[in-house]
Amino acid sequence: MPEPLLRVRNLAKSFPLPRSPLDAVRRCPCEAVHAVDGVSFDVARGRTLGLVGESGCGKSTLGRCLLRLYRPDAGEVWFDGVDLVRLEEPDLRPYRKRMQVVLQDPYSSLDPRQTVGSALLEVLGVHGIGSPADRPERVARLLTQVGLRPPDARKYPGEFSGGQRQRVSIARALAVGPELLVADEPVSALDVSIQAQILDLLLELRRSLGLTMIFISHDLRVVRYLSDDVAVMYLGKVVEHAPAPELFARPRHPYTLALLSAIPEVDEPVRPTVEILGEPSSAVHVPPGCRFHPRCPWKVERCLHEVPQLREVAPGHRVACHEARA
Amino acid sequence: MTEPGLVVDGLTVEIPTSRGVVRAVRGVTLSVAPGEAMALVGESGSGKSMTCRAIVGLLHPPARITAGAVRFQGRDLAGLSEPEFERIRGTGIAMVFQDPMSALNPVLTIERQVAEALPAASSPPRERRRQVVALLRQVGIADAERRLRAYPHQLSGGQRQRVMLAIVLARRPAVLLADEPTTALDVTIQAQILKELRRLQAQLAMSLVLVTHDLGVVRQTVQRVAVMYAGQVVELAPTAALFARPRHPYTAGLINSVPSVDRRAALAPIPGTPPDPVGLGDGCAFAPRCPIASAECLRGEIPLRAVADGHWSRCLKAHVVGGARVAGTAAQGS
Repeated sequence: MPEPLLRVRNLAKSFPLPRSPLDAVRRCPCEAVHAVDGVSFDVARGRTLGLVGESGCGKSTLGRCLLRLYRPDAGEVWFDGVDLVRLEEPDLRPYRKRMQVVLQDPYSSLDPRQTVGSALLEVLGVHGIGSPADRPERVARLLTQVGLRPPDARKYPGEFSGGQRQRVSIARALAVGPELLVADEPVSALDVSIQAQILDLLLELRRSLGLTMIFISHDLRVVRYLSDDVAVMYLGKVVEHAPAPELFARPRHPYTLALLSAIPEVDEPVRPTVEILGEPSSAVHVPPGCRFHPRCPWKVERCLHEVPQLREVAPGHRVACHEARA
Repeated sequence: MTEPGLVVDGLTVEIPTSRGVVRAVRGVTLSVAPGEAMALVGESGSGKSMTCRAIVGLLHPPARITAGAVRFQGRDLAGLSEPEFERIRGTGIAMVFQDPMSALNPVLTIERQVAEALPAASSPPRERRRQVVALLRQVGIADAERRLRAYPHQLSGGQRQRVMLAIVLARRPAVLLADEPTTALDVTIQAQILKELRRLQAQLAMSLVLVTHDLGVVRQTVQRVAVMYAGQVVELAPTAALFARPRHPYTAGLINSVPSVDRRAALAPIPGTPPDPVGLGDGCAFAPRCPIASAECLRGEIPLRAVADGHWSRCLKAHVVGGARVAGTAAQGS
């Protein structure tokens, strides 16, 4: 089997909370938000992994750790055979070119005072791609690739609609010819008709460029459309990970079942319904045992103190639940 | 004779801007029967929220109603003074918003805010507290006694929306307008709140107007749907009929744009973007994005016409619009 492009092992990241002066004097231990806690997975070249979960589950933090926009507290991120966690800034530079990100809000990630063309030229220049003479030609090609027109290079971000702006930020990510694209809620701010256009563009680019993708979203419908594999996250942990057709046909974790049951489908729903009560627990005071147990309809005594490990219940299908059946 | 429920008749809302007049709502006509749940669905800028705000007299100036009427139990609301409107908003028509934080008072406790919504009878404080706890329990707040002294910022988004529903329950309005009430919530919480909303609507036999962009939420919550585009209702139909066979190409396009977890069917996105709301002409506003438009679609106002029992479409070619999820509704593009 070929070496996966991305291999993540026991990744953890927490953010310390500000401590009140009184707590500091009393030497109370500093509390922290445990955003990502012991996550492991592989992504093979050319495949798309969907990371799905509700707000606060750690999916965006995980994405940023992979890109080394955050330094993980522990764990390994092997990218093409190199552990990025151990690299320092100058050595990371070549890898930054090979992995790019597209964010939810193209408004805040584009400079409003710079034309789209000059922003793209700048990216090409910084990474030394092509000669100065042929860069305008590259910019035109990039814009065409994402469904815009070459004359759009003269426009400012404010002259585009939300969907077109997301096309611009995709063009900027593609400018350096990345192998891995991390897309963090790229369509969540868009209206549904525009969302579908961008999803199809991402599908097309993945096909034509052979991109490996991490697709982060809270929307299982969107994840289903784009992903080969899906990892479901809850409070910083992956609770289920499987090839997409398998996950959606035979979900095993009660949280995955609950997520699927909660989706307001346009088609008639055809799956069993698992309803969960209450809200996610705090990522500061994480429940002992299984983190999902306070909301779980299946919980037994063991779940209150024993952390379930991911185990394989079918080929490629891993579940972290004591009660999940093979 | 007094009409039952809520009637919106030819409602037009205009906003003067430096670029010209934006006609945000263009002649919307709807009626909601007592106890009926209906939805206004559309994308940003379609005029759905503006319609809702115009109904309850909460338009932000300079937006104003320039034509049409809103009648509630036979009374025209458009000409009411603010104090008169205030009374109607109490028990006649209530509204919940996407962000309950903006509707709740940040410096008053939950108990105080729910108690204020109770009928102004002179029941003793202990009795009022008992009523507030009962209301909070009814909308699914488990530890209601402990929440009495909480302030809105101490609650999660889902809990705050539940408090809003408790206030609605206390007022027992005849009509509830809910503007994207679950859009800011996670999907499992959304499912809980929608269930609560449906239960409340049935229990109070209240009319519900749900404003949303999410067709899935529409399908699961209401009996009738008005689809809005560029300030107009372009299709009005019973929910089941709308999803079984949309009769406006915009509705068909919207349905084909929603991915499903059950089927990995190709999406058929609507090409292009919604029109500039300044200087909309008389013809069909959707024509530039429409796969079946022709020259006649741009000639003059297109009326909303009945295509089946209770099913209306503002399309000259409603008879050729296919069933839901037809492939190739439109070519791709930007």
